[in-house]
Amino acid sequence: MRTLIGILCVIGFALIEAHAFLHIEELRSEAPYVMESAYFSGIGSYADEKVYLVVDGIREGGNVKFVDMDGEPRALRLSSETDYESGLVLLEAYWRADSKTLEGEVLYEYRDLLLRKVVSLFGLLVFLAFFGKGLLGLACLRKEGGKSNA
Amino acid sequence: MPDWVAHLALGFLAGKAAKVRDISLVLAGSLIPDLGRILEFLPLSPRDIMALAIPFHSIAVSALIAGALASLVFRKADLKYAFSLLMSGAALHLALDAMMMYTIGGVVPLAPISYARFSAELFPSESFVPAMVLSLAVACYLAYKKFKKA
Repeated sequence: MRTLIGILCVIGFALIEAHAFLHIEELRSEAPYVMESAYFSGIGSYADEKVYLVVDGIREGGNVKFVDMDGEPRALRLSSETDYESGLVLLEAYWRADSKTLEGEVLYEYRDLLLRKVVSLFGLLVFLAFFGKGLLGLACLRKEGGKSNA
Repeated sequence: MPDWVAHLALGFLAGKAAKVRDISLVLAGSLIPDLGRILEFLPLSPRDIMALAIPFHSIAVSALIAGALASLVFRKADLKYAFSLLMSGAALHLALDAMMMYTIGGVVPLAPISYARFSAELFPSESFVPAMVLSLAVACYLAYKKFKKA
């Protein structure tokens, strides 16, 4: 019974992950642009509306090259002239219907991906340490015949 | 990610306030929603990683992870107890994250039913203020206990 609950939890988790992935893919297919190596965290429209874009690497002196839904190459001009060489960059961009261009501004930059991974790895180790400590603590408690308090 | 120190501190303070004996399980639970960071070590594109990481900050996925860990690792007698502590920690994590202003990611409490984000937008997600305040509170608590004991 215990194993069955665990397996059902894992299956449920996998189903939700698959659902989320398909949901994002669906949103992406409805987006007005298809970014190359990029991800839409928000959906823009052709009006003067704001979109959020996460771009994986900007190497063109502050410009982002991408293709629209018709496969036509376009470029995103950034307000900032900084050359972002690598890493994930979150942009807040506005579609200008009159000039048919996207104008963007860098909101947040994940420049140091290696540091991010190191911090994540350390967090995982902390989780495992506390989880192991809790597991051992309960095992010892049961062995001694004590009772846990919630 | 700078906030996982804040999550641990909040879990510690809440566990002490509730007089939980096995506080390490609350601390482990308070890192469950950030386990999605493991995905960063997989050979996936950034946009796929983000799509898969989004549901980790939901009640359903946190409960499924806590349920899977509790049922597959802990013995039958400790299952409910371990689950409740892990889930308490995860709930604290989601509650604290819901206070943050996220430009990307954030808490999607009802996923997979709805992927709408919930945020009180009190602090920017990159802010170190919650981590510093909560860490200071933990330090004050530990100092108080030490002086009281002495």
